[in-house]
This record gives sequence, structure tokens and C-alpha cells, in this order.
Amino acid sequence: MDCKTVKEQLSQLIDSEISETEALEIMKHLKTCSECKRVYDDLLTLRNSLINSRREDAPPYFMVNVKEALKKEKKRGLLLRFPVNGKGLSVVAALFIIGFMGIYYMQDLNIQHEPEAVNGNLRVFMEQEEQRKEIATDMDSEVVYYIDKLKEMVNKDLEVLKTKIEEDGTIVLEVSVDGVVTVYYGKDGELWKIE
Amino acid sequence: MVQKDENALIEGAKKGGEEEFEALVLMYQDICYNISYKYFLNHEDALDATQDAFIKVYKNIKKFRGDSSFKTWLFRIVMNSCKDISRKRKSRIQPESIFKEGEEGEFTLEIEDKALSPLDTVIKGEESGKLMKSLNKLHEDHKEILILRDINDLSYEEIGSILSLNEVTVKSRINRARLKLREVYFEEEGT
Ligand SMILES: [Zn+2]
Repeated sequence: MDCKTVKEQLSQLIDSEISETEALEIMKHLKTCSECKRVYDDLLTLRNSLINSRREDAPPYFMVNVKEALKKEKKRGLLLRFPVNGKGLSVVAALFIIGFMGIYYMQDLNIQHEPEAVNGNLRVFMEQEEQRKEIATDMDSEVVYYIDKLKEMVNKDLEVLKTKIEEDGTIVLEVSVDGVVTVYYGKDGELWKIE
Repeated sequence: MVQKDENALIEGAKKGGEEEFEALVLMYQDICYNISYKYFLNHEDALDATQDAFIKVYKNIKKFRGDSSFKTWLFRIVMNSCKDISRKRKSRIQPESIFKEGEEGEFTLEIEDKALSPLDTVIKGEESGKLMKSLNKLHEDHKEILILRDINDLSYEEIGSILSLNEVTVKSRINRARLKLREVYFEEEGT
């Protein structure tokens, strides 16, 4: 075995990721070649030093940061996700218009809100709007997930006709594949249809 | 036991359970932070990268199908977050990287390295800081593979899965990375 081949396999020897025959051959070479032996010793030292290096733990406020970032993400998700499809944009617009009109039944999204009296106070409206955005965001990502999954499953162009979330969280997707309308159900990461 | 708990947490998080997600964060935050810290050698970027990674986990956990272990899946996300942030930083500041040569291929093994004196058997304290700086100066491909292998002690197979590399590439890249690290470490010594 020449020096080049030996040097190429030193790490495999250090990490025991090598066959016994090869290991024996390399070790035989190391006994006679001081040059390769020195490189081997150095690599071993570097490996041992790295593995013993001090671990840097996450700061104590890390979880608080993650939670804050998640909150922001949920809000941002609505703004980022909707413009992807043109239909979604109109849903956002509809949300605002519906909000202003004080109508709490949104047929488009199939979400039923408890009818409440709107006292015209802008602050109250803003808070409600904020809540509604979060509902829409959560729902949206959930629906998008199952649509993606369905596309992967049928591996064909499909048109989503209607989406709905049942009370138990089941996502209902009414889709048209090659002109055939089928209803799919999604829950807990699984997707199925009733024949 | 731990495995069973972890699976239950993953399933819970998939259903949107925030408590389960937070428990997963607690389980892995330190090891992920350590990976990011060793990647950047500064707390600010390490914090950003780790945080970004967990946000991605939250958003994508439903897509985790258990084809690989959760740890492998998570580490891949952490590594990608590190690279993303590194790229963003680089687009703002010109890097003063001294290693512009390509990763695989062109790199020639330094047979003539008689100028290098042998390393001590252990690198301690101050010296360990120098070692980390040397690691940080390596080409991204070399740095990340050594962080996974020599700092986190992952197997070649796990590394292959995290970096989407075949076994042969993992083997040769780890060796090249270590040889390069040795070279840089000694170069540091000379300056
Ligand atoms: Zn030799």
C-alpha cells in the first residue's frame, strides 16, 4: 500500500469504518512509515479534541424566543401564504369585508362563528379580526397540507372545488380529477375517500 | 422507553399539540444549539439558526413520516438553517475565506508536509479555541461533516442520511475534512 492510499483511509481506520483486512494492511504500513504514522496520530488527536470540546447549551430564554417566533410566524403565515393562489387573496379580502359588515357566517370557508353583537367599537373589531386571522391561518396550512398530499397521491392535475373542516377536525376536500368529482377526507396525516 | 416517549411527542406535535412540540424543543434544543454554535462560533447566529430550525420543525412536522429517525430529520433542518443564515450573512459581507478551492476532486493530498510538527496528544483550553477557529475556517462541506462526525459523534450512516450523501462520499469527505483541518490548524500556528 502506498502513502497516498493509506492517507486516504486514515479516518476510516480511526472511526472503525473499514474492513479488517484493510485495517491490518494500513497498520502494517504505519509501523514502517513514520510520515503516515504522524498524520494518523494528528488526525486522532484532532478527532479526540473535537469530541471533547465544550458543549454550548441553548440560553435559558430559548423556549420563550421560540414561542414568540411561532406567534409571529402564525400571523405572517396568513400574509405570505394567501398570495400564492389568486383565490386565496379574495378570501382575505372577503374576510375583511365580512368582518366590517359584522356577518359571522362565512359560507366560503365553511366556518361558523357564534353570532355576536358588534358594538361598532374598532378595538373589539380588531381583536376579533386578529382571532379570525389565526383561525384562517391554521386552517389554511392544514388544508394546504392535505391538498399537497392528495396531489402527490393521485399524481394528476386536480381542481379543488370545496374545502371544509368538520367539528372533529377532519378536512373535507371536494376535488375534480379528470372531470370526476370526488370527496376526500383528511385527518391525523391520513387521507382517504369513501367509495 | 425514550424512543416511545419521543414517538408519542411527535404524534402529538403532528396534531398541533403545542405542549408536545415544546417538549421536543426541550429535548433537543441544547444539542441543536451546539451544532449551530460550532458552525458559527457566535451566539447571535447560533440562536437565529436554532430558532429558525425549530420553527421549520413546527411547520413541517406533519410531513415527517418516520422514514429516518427524528434526530436525523431534525439535524438536517438545523444544518440547512445554518447554511441559509450563513448565505444571508455572506451576501451582505464579503467573506475573507482563504479556501476558495472546490470541495471534492481538485484537493490534492499534501504528502510533502514535513514542515508540520506533530500535535500534542491533547488540545486543551486556549488551544481548543484555536481548533474551533480552524474548524470554522474550513469549506462549508468540510465544516458541517466534522460538526456531525467529531462533535456530535454521529455514525457515517446517519451523516449520509442528514447530508444526502452516499457512503463512499461520506468516507472520503470526512477524511479530506480532517486532513484539511490539520493543515489549517498548523497554518494558524505559523501565524
Ligand atoms: Zn506512508
